[in-house]
Amino acid sequence: MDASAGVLGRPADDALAHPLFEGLGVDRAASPAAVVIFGASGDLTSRKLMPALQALASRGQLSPGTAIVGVGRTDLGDEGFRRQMRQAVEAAGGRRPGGKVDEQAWAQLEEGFRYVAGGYDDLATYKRLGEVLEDLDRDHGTAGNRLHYLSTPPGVFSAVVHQLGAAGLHHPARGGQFCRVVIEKPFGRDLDSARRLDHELHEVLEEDQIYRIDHYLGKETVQNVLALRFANTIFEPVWSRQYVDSVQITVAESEGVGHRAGFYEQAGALRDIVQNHLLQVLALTVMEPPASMSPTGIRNEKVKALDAVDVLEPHEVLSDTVRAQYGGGWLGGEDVPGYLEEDGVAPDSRTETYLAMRLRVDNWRWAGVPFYLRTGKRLPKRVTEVALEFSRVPHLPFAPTQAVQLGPNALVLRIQPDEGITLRFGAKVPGQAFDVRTVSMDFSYGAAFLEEAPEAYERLLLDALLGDPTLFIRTDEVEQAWRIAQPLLETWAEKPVLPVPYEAGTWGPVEADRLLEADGRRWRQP
Amino acid sequence: MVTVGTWRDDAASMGSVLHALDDLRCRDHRGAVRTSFLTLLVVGDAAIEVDDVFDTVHGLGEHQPSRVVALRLLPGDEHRLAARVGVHLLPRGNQCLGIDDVALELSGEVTAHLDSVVEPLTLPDLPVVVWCRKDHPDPDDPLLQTADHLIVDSALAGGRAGLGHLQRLRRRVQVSDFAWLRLLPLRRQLAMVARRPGVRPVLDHVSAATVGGTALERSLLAGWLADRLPGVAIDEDDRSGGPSIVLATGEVEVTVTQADATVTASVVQGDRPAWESTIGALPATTEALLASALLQLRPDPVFDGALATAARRSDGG
Ligand SMILES: NC(=O)c1ccc[n+]([C@@H]2O[C@H](COP(=O)([O-])OP(=O)(O)OC[C@H]3O[C@@H](n4cnc5c(N)ncnc54)[C@H](OP(=O)(O)O)[C@@H]3O)[C@@H](O)[C@H]2O)c1
Repeated sequence: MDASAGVLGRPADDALAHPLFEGLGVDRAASPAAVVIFGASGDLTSRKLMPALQALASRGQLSPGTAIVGVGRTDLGDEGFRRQMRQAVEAAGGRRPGGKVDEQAWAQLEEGFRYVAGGYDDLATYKRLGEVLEDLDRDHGTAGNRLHYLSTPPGVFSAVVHQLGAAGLHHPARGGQFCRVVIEKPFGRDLDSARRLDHELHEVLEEDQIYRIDHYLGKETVQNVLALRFANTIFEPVWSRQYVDSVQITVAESEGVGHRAGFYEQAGALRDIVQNHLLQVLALTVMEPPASMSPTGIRNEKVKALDAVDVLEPHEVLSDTVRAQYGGGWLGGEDVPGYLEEDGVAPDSRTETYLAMRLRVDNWRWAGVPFYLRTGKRLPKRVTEVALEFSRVPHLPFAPTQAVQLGPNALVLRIQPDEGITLRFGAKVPGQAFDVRTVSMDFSYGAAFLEEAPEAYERLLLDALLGDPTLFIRTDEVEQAWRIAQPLLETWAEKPVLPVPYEAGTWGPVEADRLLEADGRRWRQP
Repeated sequence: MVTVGTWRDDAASMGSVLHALDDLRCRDHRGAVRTSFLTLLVVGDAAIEVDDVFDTVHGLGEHQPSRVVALRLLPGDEHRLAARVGVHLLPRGNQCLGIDDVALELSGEVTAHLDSVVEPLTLPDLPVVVWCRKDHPDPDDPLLQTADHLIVDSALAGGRAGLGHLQRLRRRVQVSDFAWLRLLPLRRQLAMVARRPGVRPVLDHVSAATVGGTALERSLLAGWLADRLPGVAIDEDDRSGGPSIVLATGEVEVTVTQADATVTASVVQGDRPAWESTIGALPATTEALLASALLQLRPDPVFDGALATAARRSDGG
């Protein structure tokens, strides 16, 4: 199977390469395949993966020869698994306005559900899986193609891949077919463990079989950063140290830790958001234009961008980062508990729920421009944005009193929610006087198109089925991202830095404000 | 949807209409800055119900055109320009989408110069889509000079006999035809059949095809098949029933039939039915067809080929 089929506009599913099917929008339709989900009884499968598969079937992008095979310790049985997946589809349908289950799409998937119960490190599980896959090839037309999706906790990833190898399920059933493995995040806990995991994966798989997911990259609006930067003449010339004074990247969540305390206690904001989502957004913001939008072109530039990020020295970790933890407070009209009062959180937990940092990108384009990154839970609203603040004009031809209300120009890429672009500039206040004030102009991405944007997991699952790795993280990208995060982990381990408190419903601790005030700047209020 | 304000005048001028639009938009600061993406001009005769048109367009929710101008053309020589303007906001997340409705009722000489009426109302630099509710416009209609895209429904205007005229229009402007869009579930189901094991090779050896449905549906389907499968003999089956396609090789027959809200596909090998499946098709409401047409503003070479061939076949008798 040509790895880039479907990417180039030719249908990946050869059955659709026929004049009768042109113009039906099926050029991104996947070939028959068995999608094998490890950890299928879990939250991600029900909330994201199954609704995404149903949506793809609904858009005609899955082949009738698609089977969905669950693997896990819970003994669901084929019927139980099918029932659970039906509930997942109904729950997801219900979330959409006027949403109803597309019965036609469901009927297409319904016959292809199988479940294999067993331990993840038990070879017998994989032997049974092998038999089920062979049956599906024969009876359901899955054609020997496999997409293994590792949706278990990360501790199990290497055991699954090892056993896939031992059972001979790591390669396609037949020559010319594909076998790919999608690995969920987080990829490692630090640089060492990420390298170890990578090594273990590579003992069984080739790099081009490994699809490391960061669902942020599946978001339309994250991809739109590339379109905005590289399809327009007007932004790129000012996208550099010559005009940009500073850049702020914010990933704010209004939710608390919820039911994920077990995971979050071990991770914290650095591992949960910064090492992956935030650094991915940073890479897309600072990267150089790729020669082409090919997987290699884009990923090479992202790696170069991350490579240019100056790694913090231990003393800089103390001076240039702020680690914080939320206390109780009022958010959205509700009195919410502090992190330490949440279920499953240790009463003396030192896990950070907020992290702000100042980074430098040492290359020709960005030297001297500070990048302020922040992420946190229980902030006043859920928002992800990249804000470029521009230098002031060299000379203001107005009296200082006329421009007191004039801030610096800014270009804000809003990634979620209300995806779009805001441009902030000065305009004359109507009247006899020549007063100038800041105004902002909003472009709403969703309002500008009729097309519905697919959910991130739809996009990524389809890309994995089509063999397009552009939006997945390559091994050297993971390593670069850990290289940036590692000094923080080490410094915090050596000199235990207690997280400072901040009140839920605020934009973080005063220490984070001081980080910018020391540079004569302020955080934006998104 | 929140209505910011409305305005009407039975003896309006284009200046007063534009002034009313500006004035109404200024009443709500949320409408001061907005994202616009296309202007939709809807043209109909005295029978057109302007409120129905707006209801249909508003039914597209947040995906409706930013400005809709409905032109109701009345018979008679007496000059008339009556206008009704509505400015609305549709809440979407923290923002609001601005939507303008302009309904114009015209008679007299001005109806021959509709381009001069709509030009000031189109949003700058953005696509202009003209939706002719009933009759196909004349290819020389000056209104088409403003249009980037034309939407028609051949089932309401022209039928099979009108395909030649539609083809002449197509030479001037990109066209979407609801009659063609209604056949989409049939074509989709055929693609689904082709993805079943064993069916695909049949399509490489189709020797004969039969199409059914109304005269218009048969024409469009036959035009499409003739364009896509040159050299295959195509028959028309004029018995009543929904649109259908039968593709035959030596001994296998693939049939797809559309009836009401279902599409049935079957494969018959020799005398033995090998496989059959019926699926529900979403109802082809005017809203659904309009949404689909507005999504297809790019060139559609498949429809162009089908229309050109169908027009040639019907001209040739
Ligand atoms: N949920 C999300 O929104 C989300 C978002 C981003 C990334 N992820 C990542 O996606 C993966 C799956 O997430 P999830 O929320 O679905 O996880 P989950 O519900 O905690 O676990 C998935 C399944 O894995 C098995 N499992 C749980 N704990 C295990 C253990 N200690 N040892 C072996 N198997 C265990 C369970 O199935 P059995 O008991 O049946 O074996 C469980 O149903 C994780 O790697 C997570 O980090 C999830």
